[in-house]
Formats: sequence, structure tokens, C-alpha cells
Amino acid sequence: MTSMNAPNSPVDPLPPIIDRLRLAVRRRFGERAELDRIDVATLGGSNRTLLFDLVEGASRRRLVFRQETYTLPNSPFIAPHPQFKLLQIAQKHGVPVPEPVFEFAPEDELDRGYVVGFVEGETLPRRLLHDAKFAKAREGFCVQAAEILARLHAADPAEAAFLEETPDSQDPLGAQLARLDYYGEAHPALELAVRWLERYRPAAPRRVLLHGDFRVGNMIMGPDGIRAVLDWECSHLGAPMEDFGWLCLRSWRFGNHELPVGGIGLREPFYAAYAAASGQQVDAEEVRWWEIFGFVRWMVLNIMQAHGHWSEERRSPAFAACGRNTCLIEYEMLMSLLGHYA
Amino acid sequence: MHRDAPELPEILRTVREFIEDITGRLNGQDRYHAMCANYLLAVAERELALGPAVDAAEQTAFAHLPGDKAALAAKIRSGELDAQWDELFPLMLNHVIHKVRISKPEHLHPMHRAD
Repeated sequence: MTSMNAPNSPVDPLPPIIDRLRLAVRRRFGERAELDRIDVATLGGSNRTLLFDLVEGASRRRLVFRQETYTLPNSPFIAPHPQFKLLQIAQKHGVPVPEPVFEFAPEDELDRGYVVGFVEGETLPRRLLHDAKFAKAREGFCVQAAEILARLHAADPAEAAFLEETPDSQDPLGAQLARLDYYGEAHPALELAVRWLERYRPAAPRRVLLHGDFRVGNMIMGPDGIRAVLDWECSHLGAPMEDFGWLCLRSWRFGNHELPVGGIGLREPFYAAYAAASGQQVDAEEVRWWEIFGFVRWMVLNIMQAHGHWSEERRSPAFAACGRNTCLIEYEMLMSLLGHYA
Repeated sequence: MHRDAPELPEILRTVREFIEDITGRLNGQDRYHAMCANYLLAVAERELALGPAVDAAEQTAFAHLPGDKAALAAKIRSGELDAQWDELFPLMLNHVIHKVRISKPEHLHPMHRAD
């Protein structure tokens, strides 16, 4: 889905998968459809991602194959099937996404996953925040991000009723705490923020379809701006400002702390553009509540990765590092509660 | 306690320096994991150097608080300690500063840096 450097991984597990993918493609595009220029983007972890050209006679289309290879116990991520449906819903409402092409069916023998259109562009935050090439994209970022969220939040949540059952749709804070307790590591300082969140919960807001992981790094951008919003596996129903709090979270400013909106823009133009596009005013205090919530959630996700490591479910130096990074988030969270960080 | 040289901090440093040395020649996931391994070794080195002093300071600070870390966490969540918020907050901030000093000291705001 992104312009990554495909590593030259050993291709041993791949031939049978590619054979099945070819059959799956022919079931949908006819016997003469061919695969070409197959690149491995990620292999292993919890996802397998391949890039390939679908060749039909003289026409050629770059596509992305995404297959779930591992499901975490008590996973905070939704399955490929609802992800695919969300891409369709988002597309229908004018949210830029990789085009949903087809989902795997049982006869494809490809487990759970789907094929989407390839979108050319950049996802790496460091480049998007600093390269001169993206100066114009940065200039339009606040307005564009606000308009995308306004369009998504305007969708009838009943269209995504299948998300009602995800714990985050029912009680976002409770969902974090249930996961935290499952990982079994006490964090008293984190609990201070949890308590603060409980005491100052905003009034019940309107309920909308949320992206759930809307931030720089999860969108493909070109010099012209945002081209596609990726990574819908955290999507759920809830308060619109939850998406705001996540985008503005200090952890997602990638060092550009003075630019709260994704490390790219200021709050005022972002809030104003959302109000103009949605007709809904943005309450800065409510965004702040969701930022504190965001720290809690981001801590819990890091604790989850560390747990995956030390519980031997999936060992990796990266997941081990997440465990020792958790306190960095915890520190920013306390500094934000004290008002030292904004 | 006489073991032969190198001592533990020196062993960690040796491994870290070796990984630092080869990281530049790696690609993709191997390179990323080598960088994570370096980070973890640096954390271990700092923990070895700072750990005893931090543990002693924490023991004193936590002595005023009810139970162990898990009991304290549960009491904060339940609201039982709401009345002690103003005294608890700086203690917890200090506790987290200690953790950051071991994980990544440069992450701290200048007001919390040791030197």
C-alpha cells in the first residue's frame, strides 16, 4: 500500500500463496488474468503484504494483497472482513482510501484478507514533516484532515453497525482497562490519568463512525496532500473528538511538538475547518480529554507489545523495546495533565 | 565476588558496540531490530548504573503509600485515594521520571534532567 523498499526476503513460503492468489484473481477477472512484478512488503508479524500487477491483456493495475497471518489473543484490532467493509463505507462517503477490490472467499484458501488498489506516495512521518517536496501538502494538511474526518463522521453509524460489538465502541476507557488488566502489569501513574478521565468524562456526545488510528504514518501523502487513509483496524463507533485527540497526541507529532496537529499544523485552522465542514463546533477541552485518553491507549498498546514478547507469544527486540518505551508516554501524559505540555 | 574481567557493564557495552558496528550494514527488519537491541542494551547499562539508587529512593517514597505497586494502582483506580491526589501526583511523577532516566534520559523536560 505504500512506497516501501521491499526487502529481498527469502521467498520460500511464497510460491503456494502466489499460486492461490493467481487462482483467486482468475476467479474474478477471468482465466487470462496474470500476476506480474510481485514484491514483498511485509512478511510475518501479524500481516503479510504483497504488491503485484494485475495484467489483463494490455491493461495493467498495481494492487496490494493483504493477509492476516496471526491473531493476537484479546486483540484490539478488528478482523480483515470488517476492515474491508469499512474501506467500502469510507470510499462511499468520499474519504480517500485504497480502492477495495475483493475479499478472499473460502474457495481461495487464502485465509482472511483482501486485495486493494495500490496508492503511490509517502507514509514516513520524518519525510512528510520535513522534506521540501511535501511543503504544499503540509500547508493544506489541517484543512484536508478536517474535511476527511468531517466526511467520515457524517456517515450514518448504522452503516457500520457491525462495529457495535467491539469493546471500544461500548466503552473506550473500559476497553483499555480490560486489556491492561489482561496484560497483568500495574502502572500506578497511568491509573492517575485513568482516574482523572473517569472524573472529568465529557457529556455524552453524538455517536459517529471513527477511524480510530487517524495520524501521520497511517496515511499516504503526495506533494499534493493526503491521497489515502490506511489502517482501519482500530475503527469503532464513538465520540468524534476521539479522532481529534489521537491525531493531536504528542506522540504523533514526531518531535514537532509546537505543531499539535500531527506535527504539521496548528489547532485553530484544524478546528475551524472541521466546524465549517461538519457544522459542529470543536470544544478544545474535550479534545484535551481525548488526548489524555490517547496517552492511556498508546501506553496500553505498548504494554500489549511488551506482553507479546515476554509471554513468548511473539518475541522481538522491537516489542521488548515497547515495554521500556511505555514510561516515555507515561511521562508526557503526566506533564500534559500538569499543563506543562499542551 | 571475584569473577574474571570483563565485568557486567563492560560485557553489555561490548555487545552494544558490536551491534552498533554492524547495524549500518544491515537492511530492513534486521537493521530495525539491531537498533532496538542497541537501545535495550543501553537501557540495561543505565539500569545497572542507576538502578540501586533509584530503587532506594523509590522504597522511601513508596513507604508512605498503601501496599505494593499493584495494590496502589487498584486503589487509585477505585477512587479511594482521590483525597490524597495532591500528594500522590508528585510522587508518581517522580516514579515515572526515574523510569525515564533509565529508558531515555534525553526524553525528560530540562526541569527534570539530572545534570
